[in-house]
Amino acid sequence: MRIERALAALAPRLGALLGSLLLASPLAGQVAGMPMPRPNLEGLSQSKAETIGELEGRALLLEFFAHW
Amino acid sequence: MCAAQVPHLNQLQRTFEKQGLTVVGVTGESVEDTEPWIEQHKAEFAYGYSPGLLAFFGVTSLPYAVLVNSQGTIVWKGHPAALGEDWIKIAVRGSIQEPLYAWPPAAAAAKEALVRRRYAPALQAAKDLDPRYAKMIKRRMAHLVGSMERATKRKDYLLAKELALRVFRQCEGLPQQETARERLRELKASPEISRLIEAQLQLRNLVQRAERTRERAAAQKLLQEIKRLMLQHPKDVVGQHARREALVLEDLIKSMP
Repeated sequence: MRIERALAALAPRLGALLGSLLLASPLAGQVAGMPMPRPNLEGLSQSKAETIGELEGRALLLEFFAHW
Repeated sequence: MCAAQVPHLNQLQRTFEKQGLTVVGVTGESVEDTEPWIEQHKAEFAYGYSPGLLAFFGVTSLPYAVLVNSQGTIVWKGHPAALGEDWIKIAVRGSIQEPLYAWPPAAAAAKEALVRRRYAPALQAAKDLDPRYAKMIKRRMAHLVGSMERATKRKDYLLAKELALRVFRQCEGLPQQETARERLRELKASPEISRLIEAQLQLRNLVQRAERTRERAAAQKLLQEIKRLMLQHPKDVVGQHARREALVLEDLIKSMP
């Protein structure tokens, strides 16, 4: 139980570390400036916007995910 | 996204929503697979379906996030755990104060023009509305033009050119279009600036190829090319960007089998 708690406390830090070292591709400097085509999203759910167009003028954090 | 990311993303949505951020989950999977998962993990943010968007970004491993600023420019991408709040604070600058989805039916024409990113018809349609709508539209235009001028000032000419093209297109018939035309003329007139833009495009192309490769040898070859650009441009924005990209790519190569 104690080990589980310790791991849970460390998880965000480990995640960030692994992310920055191994998985992240923060090629932000190079990516910066590239215009983002408006995403063609179907079935927008849990949103106050009915379409992605209604989010025009707001910053978007697109999070790619899978259920597994 | 793995389940471990959900609380973090829920928190980002709550913290930055009023400042202009919307978190949108994107999946290439089916509704049947996705909806129970969203419910089970109590994801509070918006989500939608787009296999095409995953292909567009060449996403090969998950989780993966892309941050787009309020003007529709990509400012960051990578593993969501590595996304610092400072990036979000930068991305929400210039966000529209009242989200378009909250605009009343009377403002439909202005809203529709903004969705199409056309400021002249948006301003025209806002004439008969509460003055705050015209004010919001003008503020967005000013932010876009300001970004173009700031990019020019710090000699990030590729970004300046891309923003000038946007101002030119989006502000058709307005004085800002002339400002953009003038900026584009200046950028084109200088052979030195044209060379820098060419080098920035070359660097962008190298980085995009590096992002997609999973082979150490190919990545090392691209790293050498990026370092060559770095040496060729010791004192300008190309060199600065190349230096940063080289460091990131070196880290990625270390993690490759």
